[in-house]
Parts: sequence; C-alpha cells; structure tokens
Amino acid sequence: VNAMRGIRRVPVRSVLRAGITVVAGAIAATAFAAPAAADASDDYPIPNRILKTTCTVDQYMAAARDVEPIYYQRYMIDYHNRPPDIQQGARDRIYWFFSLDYAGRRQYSEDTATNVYYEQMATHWGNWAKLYFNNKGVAAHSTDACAQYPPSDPSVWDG
Amino acid sequence: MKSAKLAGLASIAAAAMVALAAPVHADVDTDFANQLHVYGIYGQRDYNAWLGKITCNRLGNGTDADAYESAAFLSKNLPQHSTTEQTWQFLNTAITTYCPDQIPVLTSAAGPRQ
Repeated sequence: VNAMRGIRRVPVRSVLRAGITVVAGAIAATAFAAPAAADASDDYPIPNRILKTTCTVDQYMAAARDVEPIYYQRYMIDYHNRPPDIQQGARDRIYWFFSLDYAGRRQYSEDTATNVYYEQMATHWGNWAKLYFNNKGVAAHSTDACAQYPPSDPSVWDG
Repeated sequence: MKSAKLAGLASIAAAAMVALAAPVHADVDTDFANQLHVYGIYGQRDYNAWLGKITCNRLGNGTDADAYESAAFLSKNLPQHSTTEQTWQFLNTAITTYCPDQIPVLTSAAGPRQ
C-alpha cells in the first residue's frame, strides 16, 4: 500500500473514456481500410520480371525448360491435359500478353487483381499462366537466362 | 458344410498367395536415389527422380541432342557444389534407370566428340 502512495490516482471515468476512444478508433480503422487484395503492385500479381522482360514467350519457356525443369514440366503436364481449344486459347493469350509493353502489362496486372472475372482464360483453366505469373523465383531464373534462346521455338510447347 | 469347406480352401489359397508373393521390389525411384548416394549425390528423392525422368524425356524428344547437352542441362539443376564427375554419374544412372534405350547416347559420348 505504501508503494501505491506515490502514484497519482487516475479517475476511473477518464480511463473508460480513453478506452472507448481507442476501441472506436480501431473500429473506424477497420471499416475504412482499403480491401487488402484489391490493388496490384509492380510485383503482384504478376512478377516484376515478367512485366519488364523483353524476351518472347518461346524464349522464356525455353529458359524455364532448362533452369526450372520441374516447374516447367508440371505446367506442361497440366497443359497437355487440357482440351485442344483450351490449349490454343492459353497459347494465344500468353502471346498476346507478351506483345504488350510494360505499361500494358502493368495495366493488365491491375485489371486481373481488381476483377477476378477479368481474365476469361482463367475460368476455363485456373492455372493457365502458372509458368509465367505464379512464382517469382521461376520468373527471375527464367528471365535471367531467356535472352540466349531463339525468339521462336515451337518445341517449347511439346515438353 | 460345403461352404465351410470352400471358405477353408479360400483361406489356404490366401495364405499361399502371401507366402509365395515375390519379395517386395524397392520402388525404382528409391533404387535411383540409392545409386546416387553411392556417388555422394543427395537432395530430395522425388526431385532427383523427376530430374532423371526429365533428362530422359529431353533425350527422347530431341531437346538435348547428345549426352553433352544432357550434362549441361543437369549441371544447371544439380546442387551448385556438384562436380562434373557427379553430373555424368547422375546422367549415367538416370539413363540406365529410366531410359536404357538411350544408352547408345552415353556410349557415343565416350568416343571423340563430333
């Protein structure tokens, strides 16, 4: 009890008021926080390396086949298990994506991040772009090596 | 009575099947891993097995034209401290384990390089 004497007594009411303010603040912060997943960044959902690479699809895939063979193989097994029209659609779509410049790719990244239905291909095959978009390490290793491969090499789709 | 006899016969047959079953053969991927261990090549069993199969696949579809290209591919995907010797040991084991039809690729690599 003696030890308590030196401490200023704080009125119960002001403690309560402070508490209520904190709780109200927390509720407000939760309510006004932007939805976490809505925005794209320069590295999400599409890795920065993919936004910036100047390689072609074939170059990128040939590099992945060499430096990330298991990831590449998994993707190709999935690809070969799709019906031909879906395979064709996925190929067309990724060639289209790679034809865009940085700004176009960044915009596409934004569009897919903010609208889950934006990419129609994904409704037919959820992992249609896994080899390109889903793994930063794969994107980094493959874009490091891709420039040394021929710009056009249809065999990359046979793997 | 008849059914009891049948059941008895069935159980004898079942016991015989268990007793006569061939000794369980180890999984081929395990054999592969064990052989790699002899060469001091470790790492994930499934990763190595898949890498071996992919190596075969690449030889089969012409992605790698010869054993040297296979070795170059493997050197990119084996642990960085792996030696050239281990790379070739891996290649040799992969071919003999998963695609013995490709053994000529190894034999021709033993001669002078074209």
